[in-house]
Amino acid sequence: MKIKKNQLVYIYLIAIFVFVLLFRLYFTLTIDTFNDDVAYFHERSVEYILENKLPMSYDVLSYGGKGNAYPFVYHYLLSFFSLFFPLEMVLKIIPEILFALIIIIIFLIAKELTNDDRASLLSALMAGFVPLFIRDTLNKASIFSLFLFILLTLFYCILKVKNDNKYVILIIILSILLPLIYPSFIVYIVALLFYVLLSLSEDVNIARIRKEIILFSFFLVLFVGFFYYKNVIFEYGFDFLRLGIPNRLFLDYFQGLDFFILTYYVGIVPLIFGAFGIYYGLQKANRKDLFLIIGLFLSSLILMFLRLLEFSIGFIVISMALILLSAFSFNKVFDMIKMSKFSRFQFTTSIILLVIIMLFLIIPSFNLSLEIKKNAISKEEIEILKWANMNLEDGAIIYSDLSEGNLVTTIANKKSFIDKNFLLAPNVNQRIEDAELLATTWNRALALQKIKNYGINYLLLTDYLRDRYDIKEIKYFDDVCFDKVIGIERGAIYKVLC
Amino acid sequence: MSASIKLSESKEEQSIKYYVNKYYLTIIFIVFLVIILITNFMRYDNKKEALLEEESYFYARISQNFFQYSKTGLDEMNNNGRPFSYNLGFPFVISVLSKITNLPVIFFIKYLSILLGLVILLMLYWILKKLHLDWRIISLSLFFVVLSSTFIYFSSFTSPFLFAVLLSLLSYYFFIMDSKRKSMFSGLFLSLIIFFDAYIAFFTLAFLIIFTVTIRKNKKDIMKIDMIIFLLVLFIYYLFFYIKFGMIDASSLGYIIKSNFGNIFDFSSDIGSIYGLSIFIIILCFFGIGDLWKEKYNNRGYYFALIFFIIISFLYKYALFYLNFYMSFLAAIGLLRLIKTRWESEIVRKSLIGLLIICIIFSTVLYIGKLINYGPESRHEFGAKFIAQRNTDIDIIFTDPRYSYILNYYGIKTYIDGNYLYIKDIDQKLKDYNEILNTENFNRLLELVNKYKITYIVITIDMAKDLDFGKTKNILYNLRNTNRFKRVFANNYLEIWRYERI
Repeated sequence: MKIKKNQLVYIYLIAIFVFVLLFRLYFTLTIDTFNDDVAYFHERSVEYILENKLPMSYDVLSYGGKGNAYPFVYHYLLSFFSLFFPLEMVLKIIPEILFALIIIIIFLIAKELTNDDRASLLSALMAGFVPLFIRDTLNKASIFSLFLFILLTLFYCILKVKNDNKYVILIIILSILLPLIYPSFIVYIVALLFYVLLSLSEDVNIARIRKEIILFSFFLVLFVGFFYYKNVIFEYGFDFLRLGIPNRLFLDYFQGLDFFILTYYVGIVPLIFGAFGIYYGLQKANRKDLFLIIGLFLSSLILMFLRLLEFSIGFIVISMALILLSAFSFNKVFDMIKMSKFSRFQFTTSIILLVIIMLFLIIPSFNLSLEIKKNAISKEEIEILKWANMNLEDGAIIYSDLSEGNLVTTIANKKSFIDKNFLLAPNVNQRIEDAELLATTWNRALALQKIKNYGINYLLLTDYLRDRYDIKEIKYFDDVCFDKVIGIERGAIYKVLC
Repeated sequence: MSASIKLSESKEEQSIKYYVNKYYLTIIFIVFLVIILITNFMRYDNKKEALLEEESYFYARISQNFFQYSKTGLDEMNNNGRPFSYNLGFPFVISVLSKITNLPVIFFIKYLSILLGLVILLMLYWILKKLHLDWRIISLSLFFVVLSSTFIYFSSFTSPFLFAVLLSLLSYYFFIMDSKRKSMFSGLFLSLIIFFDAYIAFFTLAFLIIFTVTIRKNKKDIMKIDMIIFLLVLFIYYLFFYIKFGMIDASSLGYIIKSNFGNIFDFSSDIGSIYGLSIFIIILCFFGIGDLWKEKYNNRGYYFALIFFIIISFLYKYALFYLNFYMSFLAAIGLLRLIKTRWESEIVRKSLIGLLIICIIFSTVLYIGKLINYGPESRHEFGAKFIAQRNTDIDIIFTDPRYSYILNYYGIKTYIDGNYLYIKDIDQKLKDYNEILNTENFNRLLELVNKYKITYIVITIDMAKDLDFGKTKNILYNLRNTNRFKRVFANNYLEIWRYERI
């Protein structure tokens, strides 16, 4: 049976999907733990939903007890799958499937923009192997998987809305879901604004139905976001977009933006091809739909510049936008080859582009993944916290490094002193300062006073804490006030006696 | 601003118009009263009768003691005493009202704002009518105003600003009147504003000048008369202050101007500010501007007005009240345009309009919830009463300048309050204030406490936000690690520490 050309394209697409999925699953499933303690927070939230059928509105363990404003849609999705499969498996596999599905959306958008199968396939392949994307998402059960999937699907639907309202219902559903997945939904709102502004400035007529649905989607996202995050918005104002990140950690999440950082994180290939894509798309091909993707690109840039968009999601969105724009460059390369004397080298050109992607994206991603494998949370640490779960009293507060807070709450089932769920955390700036003070001070009286004030019962001293504050041991420890209740090579738990 | 915006009407709409036109003002008044009464009663119930803002205690105090203070010319309650140099209009009106009706001053501070809010709404209605605007624009504008956080907030406690707004609207209303004789009243109301709020007086004058130059050139003569009356009253009023209290210190004037600047990040109540513009109104406002832009520069008066209100909102934080009025009006035009435009998808059109209305109402409902929990607590008052029972005339309390207003109301003298007018060495006092809070040197703290004869230190929850947590020691550390200070009172909102002199 002869395979038609368009069938072949989909076979290639499925092959890329499977390749990306297997790549991600290989690394995820060969690591016993996760690479980010937030994954364990997701685990706890899903368990809570399975038990109570409702999202966790008050977290009794985080920061010794605080309101929980973390969006719930992702947790419900994982809960649904965990009805049929073990939760650990769901946390490992579902986010990776979502990430792999993103490449299909990238293909569809690129195809819609360029109408070129080869260019779109190359873009899809690139999307699976952006180093930053791998670094920030692999084996982390990252919520970005769902967020990006919904965001890009929304853009795809908007592109498809031309003269009919076939996609209207889908856009409405996705517009409701987007803010309920992650607070960075602002990137979508600003992207729509840029799209309209660019279209107006270039005198481009947006189809009436698209204009209407964009307007509706804009308000709907804004309304749902405003409704869901009302408490957080009242508490933080504009800063809620900064997710309540404490001042001292601000630069870890919201770095400044310059060209070199952009090149480093996004990668040289998407950047060069993306930049050419903008030029060709606008000046030569005159594809005005491109404004939508440029809007997304500008939106992320501006929000990152204003430090209203988290560094990692910002760069991932920028990468995706540049990859979509790269499709224009690939399209142009193929067109040029086709019309030149080298038209018979079209296949060779595809191979050359594939090799470039392989060299600059796939191989670095592979190396990075090997690094990620090494840096996963150690099994020993999980074991020590499991021991704490079994042997320490309920309701105890454990002081730990910031990156272990969610391990304390999930694995040990004890209250954390600090963790990464900063939204609505009480006196978070003060706590971060005091966390450092407790790790670095030599003044026992001061440390004990802080420990007493916060009601801390145990201190977890691990390599994470040592590395963060560049210490070997806690200087004020003594046998009178601190008793080591369990110790392994990488860490120990001390009980506060005084 | 007299350009009228007309929208075509069907027969059905005309019959609706008849009824709505007849009753919409009443409906809007009822909506306002329901909102404001619910907010006020729930708030007073929740906060055990504590006033909405700390400044309210200041207004209450100067109104209660108006005749005594104006006789001595001295307010002794803070900063080692300072001239009674506040705007005289507000305490005069409130104290006279209190005397006439035999009702306590606090009653007027709490509830007169509701009446003033109603009168302001009525004035807005008359002004919009006078400008020959479409009835739908008038009704929607007023509806948006009533639902706005800014209007609800300012109608929740009586302040000089509310009087100033009313007078400025009266001034504008009379100014746009066709009859020359009635227009003359404009200058009278304009001059009266000086006694309540100098900022608003200048802004109103500036607005009238711009209005005359750009739109109503035939009002030049009235404008000149208004200006002469205004300048004359201004001169006499401030000459009186100059003779009685001397020249204002440049640095204290600088602090006052700086503290009154609007904050760009505080423009919306939807994103944290206690009053401001609704995000949904701002967005609708863009549609309104888009609609006006169809006639390009014919509507230049509207653009000038918008720019003017934005500028004054930056210069004076309370002037956002005017921007809110104006944006509500533009939002009304925007919403009507959205309704009237031909849509490809009827479902989307209806859903969008429904969604927008829900957004605006929802924003108001959330705001009411926020306002109910906002402001000083009765627990703040407990602290003040605690000190008042033990207070002697020589005691001076060091605390947050805003909390000082409450303490002063209970007859307790404080180190500094939020009003820097006519304070000698204000720079030094503010520097010492920060040093007391953040010094790591306990002896230095004692030195400053002795210098200002401070007997109690009251740390409030707001004050803790000013502490420099980068240092390992600050006032909290200093107070807790010595026997020279004894904690005599504490609740979730404040701690009172008594200085034990040797």
